[in-house]
Amino acid sequence: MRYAVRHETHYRYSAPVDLGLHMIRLMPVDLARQQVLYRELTIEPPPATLADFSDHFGNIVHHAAIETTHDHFAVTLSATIEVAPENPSPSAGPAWEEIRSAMQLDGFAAPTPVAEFVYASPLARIETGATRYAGHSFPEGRPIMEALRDLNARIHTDFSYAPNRTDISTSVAEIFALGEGVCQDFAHVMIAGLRGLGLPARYVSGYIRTRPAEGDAGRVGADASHAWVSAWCGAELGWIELDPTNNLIVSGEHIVIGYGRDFSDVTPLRGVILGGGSHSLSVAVGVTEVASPTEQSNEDPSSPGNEAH
Amino acid sequence: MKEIEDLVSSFDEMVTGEGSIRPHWRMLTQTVWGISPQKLAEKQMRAATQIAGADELIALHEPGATAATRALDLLPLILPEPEWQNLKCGLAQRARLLNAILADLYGPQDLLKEGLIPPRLVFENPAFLRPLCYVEPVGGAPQLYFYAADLIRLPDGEWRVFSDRTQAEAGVGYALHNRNMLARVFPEAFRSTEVRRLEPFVELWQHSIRAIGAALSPQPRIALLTPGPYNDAYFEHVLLARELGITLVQSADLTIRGDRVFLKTLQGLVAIDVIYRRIDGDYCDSLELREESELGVPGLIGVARRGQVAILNMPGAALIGTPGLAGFLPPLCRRLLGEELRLPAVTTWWCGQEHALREVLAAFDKFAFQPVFDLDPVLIEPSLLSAQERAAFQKRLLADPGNFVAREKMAPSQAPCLSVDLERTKTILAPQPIVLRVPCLWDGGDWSPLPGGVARVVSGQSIYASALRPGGVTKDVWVLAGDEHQAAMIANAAPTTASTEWEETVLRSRTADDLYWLGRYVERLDAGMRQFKAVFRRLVGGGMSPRDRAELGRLAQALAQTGWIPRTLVSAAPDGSMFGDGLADAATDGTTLRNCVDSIRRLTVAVRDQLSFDLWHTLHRITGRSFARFGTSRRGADVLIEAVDRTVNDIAAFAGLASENMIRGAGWRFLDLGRRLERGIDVAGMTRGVMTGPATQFEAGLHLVLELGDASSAYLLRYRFEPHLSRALELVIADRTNPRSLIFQLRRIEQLLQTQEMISAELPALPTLQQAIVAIGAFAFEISQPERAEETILSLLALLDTTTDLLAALSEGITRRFFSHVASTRLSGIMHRRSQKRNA
Repeated sequence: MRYAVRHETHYRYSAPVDLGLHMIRLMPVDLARQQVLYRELTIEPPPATLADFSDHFGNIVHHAAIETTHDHFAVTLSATIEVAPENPSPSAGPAWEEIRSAMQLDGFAAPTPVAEFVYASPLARIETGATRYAGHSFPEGRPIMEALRDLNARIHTDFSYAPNRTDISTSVAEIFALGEGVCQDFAHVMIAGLRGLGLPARYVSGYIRTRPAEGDAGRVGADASHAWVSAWCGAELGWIELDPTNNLIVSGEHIVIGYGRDFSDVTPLRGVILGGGSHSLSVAVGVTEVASPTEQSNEDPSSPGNEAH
Repeated sequence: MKEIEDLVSSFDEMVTGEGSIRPHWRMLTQTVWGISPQKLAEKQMRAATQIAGADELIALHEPGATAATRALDLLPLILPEPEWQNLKCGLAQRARLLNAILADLYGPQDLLKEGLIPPRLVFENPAFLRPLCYVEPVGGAPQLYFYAADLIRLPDGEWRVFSDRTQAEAGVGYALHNRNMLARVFPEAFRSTEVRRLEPFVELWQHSIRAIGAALSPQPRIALLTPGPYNDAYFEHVLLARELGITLVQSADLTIRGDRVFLKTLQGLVAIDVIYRRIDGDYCDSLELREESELGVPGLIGVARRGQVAILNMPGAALIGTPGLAGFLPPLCRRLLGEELRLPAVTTWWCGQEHALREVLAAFDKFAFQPVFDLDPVLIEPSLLSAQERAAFQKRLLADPGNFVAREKMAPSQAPCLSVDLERTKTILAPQPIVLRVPCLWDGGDWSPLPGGVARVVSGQSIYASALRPGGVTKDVWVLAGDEHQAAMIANAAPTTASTEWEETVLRSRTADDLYWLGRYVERLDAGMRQFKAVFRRLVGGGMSPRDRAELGRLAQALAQTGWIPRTLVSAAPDGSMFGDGLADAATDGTTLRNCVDSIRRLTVAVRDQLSFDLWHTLHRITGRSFARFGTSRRGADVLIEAVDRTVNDIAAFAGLASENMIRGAGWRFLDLGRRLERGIDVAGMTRGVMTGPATQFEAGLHLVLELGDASSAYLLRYRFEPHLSRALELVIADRTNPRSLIFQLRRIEQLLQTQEMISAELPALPTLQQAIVAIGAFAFEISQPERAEETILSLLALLDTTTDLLAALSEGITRRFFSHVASTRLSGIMHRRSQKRNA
């Protein structure tokens, strides 16, 4: 499936900003199942310096420095991405304890790159509450996929979706106390629970297709960025991605920006400014399915083969 | 302390098991026995006084906190040459190894994949700074430029590493200072012994730091980034910046433009090539690392990533100081260096492995425990716990063994410390346990340890508290010289070629700003104090004349106008108790007073490195002792007069020192500019206040202005007791020879604005200033003739208004032109997220 993504972020400052330094993690990465045909980042006002690099997790990061006085700051990502559908019902996999014991191995967990995601991280600490909650889905000997599906469904049922009740630094314990949150919070709940059981889990930042209603052109601008979980299921199955917000196993409808231990590793925008007073923020995201190359229409906002960076 | 009492078997540095003095101590002990106990006590006293003086000079502490007292024991720790050579090789190898591990962990991480380092010790470690992965050090610098080892000597005589200090460690400055102090108070000790000098190490340092910077610029500019004057080790930062000839900077002095880091100076932005950081690595950049940090430079890691600045040590270097790693070093040394580890740590177990946990549980009381990622932890010693606490801790340990590190408790060696019993006139050399810190430095090819260090006497605090802090007793460390090594060390250090000239010509903008405001606040305090003095002088003694009452009313008005006293006091009867008590309260506790004193205190700290000892001391007295006198006084007018007098005198001393002892550089100019502007505004305001009252009170008012400006006697002398209003006004406003007159300030300001940096600033107010000087000079003071009086007063008022506006505009112009880029950045909180729930 091919998607056109447009993600606009617009800050307006109440007082002039003399200097703005921004770290941007918005560029989708190329993956085995995801091919980025076109991607472009536009920044307003144009930065004096713009540098990009690949971070520790392989995500694409941009550093933008705006050195002239400005009263607004806008970042827009435009991208066209081909996503291969994945098998939505992978095999049951090994008993979950097998994965846990590979992560212990007398202090030397293996494989090492996976082990990075089994330990506590700033926003997904290991907490008794989350571990106990996740544990109900992991009775002795249960195959890993079965357990993960169960946990995914439970989080979807037990937590209600409530924007603006939590913020970017809400801890897992607080989310449990509230019983509600947004996709980021549900991902953190699941990650903390899995790690508490000794299972590696990653945080995924990205987009999900805005599914158009019948006869509707799709609601460009109505949505925002999304987050879900990637869980390690052993060497054979590898990483499997689950979306507890929508109770889905990720397959063909999710577009990945990047991976991290939790939100703090993949914050889409982080900045330091000089001046500025208060600010207002507007965000618009559109993810629409576009025609495949043979029947490409003129409405396609992007054209392949024109890659930035 | 219990564990020290138990150390029957510890190694004695001076005495052998048979009770004889080791050969390398004999010269020193002979010298000590040859000096009378009284003389030694005197030396001890002198050392203490000098250190206290030096600490007071530089090391500051948060207001209200008490400074830790540092003490120097007169007896050094002596290391003979062969032993030193051993230690030196061991330290160099260890630094090489730690650096190689860091390079791998921040790069390909092969050591993790090969199973040589447990992944948890890296991946869960807050000291593992992911943004630093694959950031290559600039100019061939290592990850670990500077390394310090804390060592203890075990009962078998072998030195063992107790703690690897890899963040941004103190040591060299204290070692240099200790050596300096000792040489001053105890020169006899050095006469009989050939001691390795420390200076070559500093030269080596200067050379290697500039060699790194040379990759970016032929005349590299180097900054020592300090957290600021309230940091424990600020003393060392100031001292090292001077020794190394590099610029001492704080966060607000630096900014990033384009691809480079710049120092904000009066002359504009100056690129910085090397940052020797004395802030913790995770505080270096609020954009990529700790977002709450105000100590670093936002964007710094990005600049390092693009290879445009060298940061020493690399910000991620603290990772390798993680205590749990120590036990894995021997195989890592074989793997990375192909050698056996020469200088191991004391037995250290990471409890995350089964065999380690078994060892530790089998001899639980022989170990001290700490959480694995805590670099300066509170240690848990099971042997010191109650049975209940002990069981509770064991439970904690077993719940997550990988979260703990255990270190075998060892008896450190004991070195003689000098104490003098004056009553029995006896000199006592008492053995005390010691920890030795040796700093090491990358010299361009390998790591060189300082031939010396700091030995800390362990007492009252656990040997496990390994951070070197200003408190406590330390010893100088002597490495006995073999001549050939001394020569070799000097030969290695090529002469320092880089000039430090620019350091002297360049003034940090922040410092200019601070000096300017220091000048203004000191002058503001002076004006206020003089008014209070005039008030209290009238309040003491018995009866109050109508004239006194009138003058007091006027003074109250002036004080209220500038915010020194509450407005309500102006209407109070001057001879009533409400007036007197209210003024006393305001003088001791008023907001303006507090604001002035607090500002002076803050600014004094901020410009500490720009002030001579005397100047600093005088300012310190103003905000310290003199100010305290207000608080403790019985608040009688006589007592308050004395307190006010002292402050006025201290300020006069400050002014005198500033004009006599300060180099006439840009710094002095900004200080003087602040003083002149403030005084000009004050004189204009005071005179204006006098002139707006009824004409019958002019005379009384003018008297006051003369009195406050110390000009009464000059006036009386000149005009022979004949009150002459026009002449009095002239003296206050237009007399070029009166250093408190308005025109004196204006002319001085004009002079200050004629210097290069000011001319290039093209301040818009300068032409107006020159016009005002001409206008005041030409003003005809004719108010004695009734027919001309009204007209004269009106035009004088207009002139004073213009001048006041002009001075305000000038101050704003200076601030905007010179200091606008001083303001520091703040985190915008630009972190957002939204989330989507699909309508299925």
